[in-house]
Amino acid sequence: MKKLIYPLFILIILLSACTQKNGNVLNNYDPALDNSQSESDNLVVGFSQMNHINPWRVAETNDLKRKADDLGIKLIVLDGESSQEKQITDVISLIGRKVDYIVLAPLIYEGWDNALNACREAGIPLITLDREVAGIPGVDFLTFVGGDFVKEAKTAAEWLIENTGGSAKIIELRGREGASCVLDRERGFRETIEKYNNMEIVVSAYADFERIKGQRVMEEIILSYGRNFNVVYAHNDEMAIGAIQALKAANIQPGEDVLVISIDGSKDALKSVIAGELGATVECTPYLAEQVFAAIMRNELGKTVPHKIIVKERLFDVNNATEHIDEAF
Amino acid sequence: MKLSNRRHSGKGRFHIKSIGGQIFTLVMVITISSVLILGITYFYLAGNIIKENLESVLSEVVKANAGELDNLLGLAMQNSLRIADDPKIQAVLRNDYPEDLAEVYSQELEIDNQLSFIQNYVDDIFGFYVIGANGMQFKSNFSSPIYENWQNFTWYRRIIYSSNPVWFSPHEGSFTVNTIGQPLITLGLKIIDKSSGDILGVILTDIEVETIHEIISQGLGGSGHLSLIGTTGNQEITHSRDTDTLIQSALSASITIDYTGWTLKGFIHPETLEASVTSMFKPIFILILIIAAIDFIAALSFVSRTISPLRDLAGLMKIVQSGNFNVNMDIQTEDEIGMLSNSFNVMVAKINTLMKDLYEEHEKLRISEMKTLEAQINPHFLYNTLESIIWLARAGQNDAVIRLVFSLTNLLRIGLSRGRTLVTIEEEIEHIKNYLVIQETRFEDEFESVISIPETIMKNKTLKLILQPLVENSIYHGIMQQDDTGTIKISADCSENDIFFRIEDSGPGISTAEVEKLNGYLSEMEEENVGIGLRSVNQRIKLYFGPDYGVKFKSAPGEGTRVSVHIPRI
Repeated sequence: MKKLIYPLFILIILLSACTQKNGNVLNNYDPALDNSQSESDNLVVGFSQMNHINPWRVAETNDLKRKADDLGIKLIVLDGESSQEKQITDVISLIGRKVDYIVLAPLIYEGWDNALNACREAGIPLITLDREVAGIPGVDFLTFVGGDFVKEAKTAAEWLIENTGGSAKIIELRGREGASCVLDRERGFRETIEKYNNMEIVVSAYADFERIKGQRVMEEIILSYGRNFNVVYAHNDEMAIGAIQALKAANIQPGEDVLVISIDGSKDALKSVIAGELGATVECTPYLAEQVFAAIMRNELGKTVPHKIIVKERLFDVNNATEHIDEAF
Repeated sequence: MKLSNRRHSGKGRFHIKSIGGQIFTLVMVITISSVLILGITYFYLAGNIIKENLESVLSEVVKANAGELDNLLGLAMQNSLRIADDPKIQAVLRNDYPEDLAEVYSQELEIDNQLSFIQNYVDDIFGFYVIGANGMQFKSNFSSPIYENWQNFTWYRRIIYSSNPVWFSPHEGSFTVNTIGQPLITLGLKIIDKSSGDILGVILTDIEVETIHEIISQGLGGSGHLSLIGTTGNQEITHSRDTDTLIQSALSASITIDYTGWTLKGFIHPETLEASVTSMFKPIFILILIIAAIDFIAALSFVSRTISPLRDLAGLMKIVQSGNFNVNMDIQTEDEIGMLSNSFNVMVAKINTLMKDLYEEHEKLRISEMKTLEAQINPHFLYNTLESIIWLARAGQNDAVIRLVFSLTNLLRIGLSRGRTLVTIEEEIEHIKNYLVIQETRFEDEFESVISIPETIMKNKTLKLILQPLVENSIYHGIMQQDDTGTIKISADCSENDIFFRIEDSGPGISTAEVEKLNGYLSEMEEENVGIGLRSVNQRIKLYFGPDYGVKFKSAPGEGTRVSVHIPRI
């Protein structure tokens, strides 16, 4: 407990701003409870990141690092190299290094039982970050911190309905097979467009969240399916930017012939919005460190931690992209 | 030799008493030491060969890894040049920064895409970044760009003021994009306008140090490590070893990377060398053990085969030493030991025979001596002598009686001579004189005697009682056979080694045939034809001094008889 005092003071300040902005979970924190002496025995947090092959993940990791530095918390980052096996090994190795908390950004939804059990047996609370895993929050793991993927997809779908007048032939570029966000982004999108008979997903393909794959898959779709579509819905910005290059190469003008929308809100995506190529991007912020450490502090103080800590999404389109480009990752 | 010296000096710390032990130790020492010397030499040579092999392997590995690094750096260089020369990029950089942000971003995204395709074919490059002097900037990877006035940064100036490509040592994170802070090395190149020669900007190429690490970490496995050293201050860029602790190296090799001037050093850890040498040592050690064991068994069996008959022989000799000659050595081999055993057997047999002979001869001698004595003091002689004494006593010749009794006493005393076999010639002559006194008294005026013995031989030794029987013989068979007064002459000659006694009588002599017969009888030891005294004299002389010596008769009718006695001068 004692080791948390100094970081807690900083947190209090940070959180006061945060809770005002998001207003959802962390408003019960009472600084008066925190009356133990200040001593900076560093808390150690292990972070198993699935990979660093896109700017979102780089930004997420860097955000955690920056915030941990500010709080005097020692953060150990392990790169899962896009392999669940490697991530499980990393979690086990973090347990071996006797960290106090483990933050896991899981590559896929299923198959974490061994890692979760190992954490529970070692008494190390685990927080899943930005994607969910199969299991019961509060039992199998402490909490989930991230965006509401379903909500993001719904926001994207709503923007499309509004900008296409409820009539569209949609190409869907999905992320990685088996990832929880992919399922959610499918579900939210479909649930929303279901009510509109003329909103139709004509092709749905995986492009692994990568720019080049987005481009390749788009090229293949144009070759095999043809040009009879007017919307591209990508599960992330990178795939959308890749797809845009493919459209341009095929002489299909993005923004005019085809409306492209994606999720994440990266700097490149905002640039593309400003360039008039990407229609809109729904923010799924990688800046989750504040919420992660706030949850850890609450747990350290013995307070209940909510089972889900959701960061709200925003939508950037041509109207507000320039305004937000500097804060984008 | 050493062992025996030690043994004799008695100072050696250990004594190996038996020949077996000595041979065994010697053989063991010689074989083991030669095997050891061979082993050590082999070990040493093999060690050198291993070292040389490791050295050449090391230099090959270093060369191969340097080649791979060259390839990687070459990829960075070639692709940088290709991007710098790209007409589309040159065109975009040649223009002013577009006023319309949409156009800026559109161009950026398009060229980013073009760069990402280049990068897609060179996996090992982390990223290419074009930084235009006009403010445009492009990137090949997903990383989110940072927007700054890069023209004011040191690295930018360093690149544009350098005539050569600039290689930046490992630094954390990329210069112009957001990364997670991994160590990178960066190649910086100027982009020169192909039409005007102006500087349009720079191109940066990032390579993750991890990529280099992956290349060199495969190099030597656990047996050594590779280390990439920068050009300034021996700064280590990366190394393949597991731990950061400084490891001493047994061998090293280095090569310079052409592109950067960096040095790739390879080290073989001492443990590797030791392990290789030890792995060589094991079979040698086992070999030495095997040879030692074979040697041990061979030496043992050789020693037991060679030495045990010698031991048996020694045991038998001890038995012989204690006086038992009835031993025989089993001969099992035909080698020197067998010959020795054979000689031993022959020798023991001979000794045995000799001992028997000696014993028998001794016995015979004793018996003859006894017989001589018996002959001398036979009742007949005593009776005659005592009768002469009685007769003289009756005649009142007291002096003669005394002389006779005195001579008889002396005769018996010398004859017994306290049991000795040898007496001086002086004593023997004394004995004869006493005898002659008795006989002259008895055979009054019938003969006279002359004794002439050289003084020089008086102290020489002779068998006792050899002259008396001969003189007796001369008296009874020579003098008594004639009527005149006879003469008995006793004389002696001598040479350096021989003494010849001569007893000559002036009797009638005997025929040559008789002489031959008599001499023949003398040599036939067992014959009884000759008088006991005479025969036993010859017999005793031959037994005692050998067959060369003895008694010989010489005579002719009318010339008397001469008996010569040949004995050695002792």
